[in-house]
Amino acid sequence: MKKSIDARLRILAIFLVIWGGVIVATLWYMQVVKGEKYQERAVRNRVRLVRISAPRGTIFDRNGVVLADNRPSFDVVINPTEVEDRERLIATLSSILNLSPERLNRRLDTFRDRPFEPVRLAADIGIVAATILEEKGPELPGVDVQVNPIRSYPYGEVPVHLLGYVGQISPRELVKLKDSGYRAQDDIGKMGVEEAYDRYLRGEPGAEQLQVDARGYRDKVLSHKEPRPGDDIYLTLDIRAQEILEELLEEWNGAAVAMDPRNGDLLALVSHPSFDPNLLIRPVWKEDAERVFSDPEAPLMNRALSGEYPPGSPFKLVMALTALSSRVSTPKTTFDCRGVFLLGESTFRCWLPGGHGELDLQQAIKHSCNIYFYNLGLEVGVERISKMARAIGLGERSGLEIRGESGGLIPDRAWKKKIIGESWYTGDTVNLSIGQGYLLVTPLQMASMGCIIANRGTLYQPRIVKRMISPEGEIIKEFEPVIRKKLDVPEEIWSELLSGMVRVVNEEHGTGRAAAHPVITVAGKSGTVQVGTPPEYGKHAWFLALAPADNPEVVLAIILEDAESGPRDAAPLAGEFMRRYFNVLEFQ
Amino acid sequence: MNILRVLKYLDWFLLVGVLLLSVIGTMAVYSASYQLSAASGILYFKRQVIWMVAGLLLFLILSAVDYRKVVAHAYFLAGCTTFLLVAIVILGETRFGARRWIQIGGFTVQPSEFAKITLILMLARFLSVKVDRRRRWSYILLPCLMAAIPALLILKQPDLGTALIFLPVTLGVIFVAGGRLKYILIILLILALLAPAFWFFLKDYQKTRLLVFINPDLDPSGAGYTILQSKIAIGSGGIWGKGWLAGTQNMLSFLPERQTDFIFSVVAEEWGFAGCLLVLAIYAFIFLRLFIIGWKCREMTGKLLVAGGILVLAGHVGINIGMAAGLLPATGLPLPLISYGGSVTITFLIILGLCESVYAHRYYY
Repeated sequence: MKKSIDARLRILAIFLVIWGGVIVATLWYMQVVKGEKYQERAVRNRVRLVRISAPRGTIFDRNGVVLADNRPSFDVVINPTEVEDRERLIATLSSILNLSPERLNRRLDTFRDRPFEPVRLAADIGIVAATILEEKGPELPGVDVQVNPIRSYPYGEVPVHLLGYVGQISPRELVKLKDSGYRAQDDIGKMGVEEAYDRYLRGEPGAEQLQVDARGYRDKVLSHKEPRPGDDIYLTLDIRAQEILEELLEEWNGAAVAMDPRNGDLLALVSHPSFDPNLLIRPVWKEDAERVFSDPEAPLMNRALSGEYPPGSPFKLVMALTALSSRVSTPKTTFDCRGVFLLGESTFRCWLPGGHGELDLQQAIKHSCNIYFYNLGLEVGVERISKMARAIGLGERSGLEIRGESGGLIPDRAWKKKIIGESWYTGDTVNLSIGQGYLLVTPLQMASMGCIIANRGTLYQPRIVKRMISPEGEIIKEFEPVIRKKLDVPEEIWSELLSGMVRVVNEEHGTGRAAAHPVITVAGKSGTVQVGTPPEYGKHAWFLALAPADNPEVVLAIILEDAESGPRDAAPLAGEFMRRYFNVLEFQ
Repeated sequence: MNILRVLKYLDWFLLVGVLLLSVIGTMAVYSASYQLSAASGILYFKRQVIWMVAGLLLFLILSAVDYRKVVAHAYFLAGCTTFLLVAIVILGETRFGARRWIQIGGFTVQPSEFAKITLILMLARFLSVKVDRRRRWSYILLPCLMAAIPALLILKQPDLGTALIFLPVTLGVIFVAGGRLKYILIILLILALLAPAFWFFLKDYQKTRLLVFINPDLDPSGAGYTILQSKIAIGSGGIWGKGWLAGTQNMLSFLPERQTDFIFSVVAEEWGFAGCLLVLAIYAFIFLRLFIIGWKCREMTGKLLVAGGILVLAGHVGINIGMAAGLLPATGLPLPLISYGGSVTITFLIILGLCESVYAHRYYY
């Protein structure tokens, strides 16, 4: 029995030997006998599909000023198989491009294992170098100057945090977006509007069917499909306002947000320090990009959306709103400020050591008296405060389309129990009453808070994009203002808050005197928040301004890190902005 | 289980052959997937190395396990793969127009590959237990029926190549086991007569593949394209090849499916006739070792298991290379240990591990 199996296994072995022989003979015939004939065919018959990238859509500001478009970039491309004298080539290129030979060699070697593919050796070399290279062309076989579209940001670092920038798609993004038609080496928006609206801006790539020769060079074009350019986007941003704020924040780390309270339009959004996106869009030389990415000041961070800060005194407006709308107090309610406030064993102080004396609500807002709001806070209680804060949109993301928005934090009893593991103390309510303690808001939320007051109870969704227009000129999408919150609070209460804010800026001894405008009435509220316990950590300075006070068109929130105080540092910047935005000359 | 004993009796020649082929295979995958990795961002090479290492570990573990204990569970294991194949028909993931994959944990696996393992386990089990009936019809018909169930499910996916490999493997093992040659030939005759009827069950693309095989110049830019490009790749490799990563057919993306079904063309183009001979010599060496294992084994189950392993591996090698060289129609079968693929690579290493176990346990019976 076993013998017969072995015998049949031998028959199987013979079959295999025969088939192996057939295969070897066939290969010998194809590769050795007919090898040359096949090599010729390999050199001839080739059809390749080449993608033509689409020009990216242009981004405009609200008045049609170009913020991002495409310009031609002169790139040096090497066809490795055509290069005759590599050393001479590198030496010549090094002198023309003003780049070290080591750098060029390193770049060329990166692609050594793909001998047939053209290598983009240097990008955006400028027209002068490009012309010299073109002239020297015949002496330098294998070198080609190509013109490719490159993203260009004429305003550089000014609008970068809102606008974002483009860069080469990363492997991780590719895995996620493969099914949406993205390919390796595609450009993709990395931040801001460029990222959020990438699928509109990128357009549709075209393609060319090429007949190529053995080394991959094009012989002739068999078919051609034009790319479809991306859609154009009009932002709500006013580059004029953006430039003013960028300049004012020059010396500071901080952020500023300007909005139109009547529809939620973001007029300006500045985060400082900033960076020039033009340095990041070409992946060829990494050094410049590395510098931006590794900067300890984190210029890539968008402080206006992601930065979370204690709101400080501007939160007193929310306190006043809570107390008045819940009828706990009236505008006539007064408290006596003696400079200190005793609660059990603890002492809470007013910022003015001697105290403000007897104050009503508007005076308390004007002088930013802590004692008044401590008293109010204890009467209102933490539940009502946090409920009102949430009702006006604090503690949650606004739902902005661009990435990186933080939600801030509204503390309450349940939160403290869960996260800190302690009960809520009366002292916590006291701190909360002046916008300190656990409370955190983003500059965008601060601006939204100003908007809901300015607009007397109606808060619009922050809007960045006004409309999108197809390359054929049709409006694809028009973004209408969307109401985000509507508060049912009597008209007089809003007037009361606004009058208090007007007095902050326009009366003797107000904390926002520096924000005044010679012609129109600015309303505002300053804030100074202690960051850490040691005083050398400095403070953050806030200013929230709206103008014109009787019918606000602009709300501005400014925060400066490591400053001395809101009235001293932030208020003058708000004033300067208002004076330049509502240009005095226009009123004369 | 005495590990030292197993190590002592292990067939080191087979292990060396398998390792050599694995190295050549991953190098070929690296080259064949170069452009694809650049375009899609998927690192084929890295994945293949991971699967190779996992497969080799399974190979070593299995060679230490008594193959008889594995064969004893043959019907249960075959039931499992059949269950998975049924599951695919119902809820499988469709890729490239076919439902072959199923998500298990974080992996997508191709149960049709594992069905090849359970097929030879099942055959070894049935044919050795029922050896008294070997002169009867049932000795041939029952195993054929057992093989037909998974084969038809795989045909439904549709995966013609994998389904067709079940036929020579099943009949081959029955033949080695001692089934009557006359009966086997009768079955083959009936199948040949039924072949025209099967034609109507084929999908359109399968029909064109077969027609193009008969005349590749029928449609050189469409269906005949693959075969033509593959032949050009092989032929233009010449005696010494164009060098690793330097094949124009490969690097300029003229060869479709070049990291899986047509990887032999990449090897032939870049390493030439010399490289092809080297690869074939390693295969020949592995088959020689497998035959020696079969002959040295003292009991029927082991012999049949090894015969099944040889038939599966040789079937793939023979058909895949024959397909690349234009000797057979392009039905799509991987080249063992060289083609890219997780389930595929692991399946072949499991089969080889089972054969290694037959050798390591040859003195037990």
